[in-house]
Amino acid sequence: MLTLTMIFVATSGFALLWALIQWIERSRGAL
Amino acid sequence: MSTWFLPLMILIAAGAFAWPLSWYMQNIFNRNSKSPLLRLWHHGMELVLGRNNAHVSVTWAAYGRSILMFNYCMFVLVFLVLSFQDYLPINPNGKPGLEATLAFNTAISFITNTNLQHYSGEVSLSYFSQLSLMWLQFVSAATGIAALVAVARAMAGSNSMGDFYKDVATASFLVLLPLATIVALCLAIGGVPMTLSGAVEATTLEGATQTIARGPVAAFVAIKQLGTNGGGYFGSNSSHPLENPTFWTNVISNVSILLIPMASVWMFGRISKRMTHATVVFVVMLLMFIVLVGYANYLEQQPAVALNELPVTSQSNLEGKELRFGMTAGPMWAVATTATSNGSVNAMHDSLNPLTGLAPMMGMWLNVIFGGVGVGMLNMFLFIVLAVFIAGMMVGRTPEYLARKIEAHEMKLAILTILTHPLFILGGIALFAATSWGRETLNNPGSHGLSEIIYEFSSAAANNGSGFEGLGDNTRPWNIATGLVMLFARFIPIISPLAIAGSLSAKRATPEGAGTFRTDSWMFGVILLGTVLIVGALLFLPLAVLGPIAEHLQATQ
Repeated sequence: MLTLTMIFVATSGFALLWALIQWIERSRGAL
Repeated sequence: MSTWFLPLMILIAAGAFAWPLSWYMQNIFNRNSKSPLLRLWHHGMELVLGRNNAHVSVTWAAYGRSILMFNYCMFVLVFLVLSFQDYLPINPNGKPGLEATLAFNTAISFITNTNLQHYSGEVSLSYFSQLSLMWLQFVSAATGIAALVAVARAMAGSNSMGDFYKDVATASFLVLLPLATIVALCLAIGGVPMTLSGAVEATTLEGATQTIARGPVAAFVAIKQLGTNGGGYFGSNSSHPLENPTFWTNVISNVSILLIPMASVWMFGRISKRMTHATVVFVVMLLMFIVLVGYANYLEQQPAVALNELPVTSQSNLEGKELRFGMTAGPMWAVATTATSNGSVNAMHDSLNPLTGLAPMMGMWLNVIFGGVGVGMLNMFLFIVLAVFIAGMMVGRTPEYLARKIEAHEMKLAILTILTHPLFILGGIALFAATSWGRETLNNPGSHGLSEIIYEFSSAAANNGSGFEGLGDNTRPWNIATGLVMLFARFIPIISPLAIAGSLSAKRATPEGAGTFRTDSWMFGVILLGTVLIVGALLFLPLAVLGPIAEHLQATQ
């Protein structure tokens, strides 16, 4: 169970970084 | 032997090898190189990767996503290997799988080029796991080099950042692998083991039985130093007599630590066709490095205050040092390993005099004194953008960097990214100093205990990996918190320079005129140095006062 939880935590971390790229791309004018 | 001979020899050797290496690195990343072998390599890689049209323009975002996707896959793979190593081959000593949070921390640690180790390699890992981590030491270092090459290409005016997978393969197979082979051979000749046989049983002079761990150590150590990884094969890292047996293996290792970070700065200059600018940046980094080495070396020549009331005479602080390397090898390595985000150790940092302990912390707080392979220059790139902006404001012109105007978008990205570094360090320290997560894992009270927490978060956030030790860090809170800090502290400072370079390269080049603030002047060097010291160092002054400086004052009272 803890093994799956840690994979989930890492996946969430990478997803946040992925979202950061999206956000920088889209907020070109606002940023 | 003079106390300054060893640092000088290492610095000169690293600088001398870095110059031709940067030329080689520039050439191998050029798909239009004059060398037919290199052209063949690039065309072969494009075939293997299925690139039908290598001239297609790759945006910074696509390059960044490739970096994330590649590293995520590496994480999952190695996390599973570490968790289930007892079911996998090459495990002659029957090591069980790692606990889940420790496997998480270790896998993140190695994909982020940090190599923070909350375990002891020879006790916890099978050979298969060690080899998997060695694989990550190659590709994580290659990721850093690839990201810097992409930024340099954009700054040279290219409309494409390049192909990440081709860049990472080129860095792995044409830079790291040949260099690691040479260094591993030198280390093996120097007495470092290189075998897949299990541990050996030896009978000591007293008749007791001793188990001596060994394995493919020379290969592991070579890439750990060259790739600024730092993760040791043995728990005690490069102070272990089988990982770093002699004075000369110590010199080779220390030169290897500095080699690629130094070459990365020149490589950036060569690819972006701004060698004078790269020289100024190199000199700024070198100045900071020399000051830190001088500071640490001088302070470590003072005896430990703890010996004052004992009937012992000591000319210098010998605690925690490996005397087979000589007295100055410890502080020199401590500065080199933290300035370059390497993280290997050849002396106990916990045993440095309190004020000397500040030197490795400074290296990690600034994180731009040559820095990690590729990423050190990327961190400096952010400070360059900030320095150019400040200089532009002072002369009343729109700031320009390499003929591109720096505007609000780039500035906000640079400053937000620079601020994430202290945020991860200060936030983590505050949380763990205030709760039982940190306090219950300390082995020392007062300022020294706080220094241990400070060091751990600084090491994680700088993707350094060295430890102050004395801290019981293999707990779930430490494993998860430092794992997340390593992850974000690695990729945000890679994504942001890619975005800035992508944004700048999309702008029309502005011809440099008489009023342009030149980034290849010594005045720029002074402004850059001031920016790094004021923005980078002052943020951490309270930590220095509460930790090492307070400890020094208490000890000398």
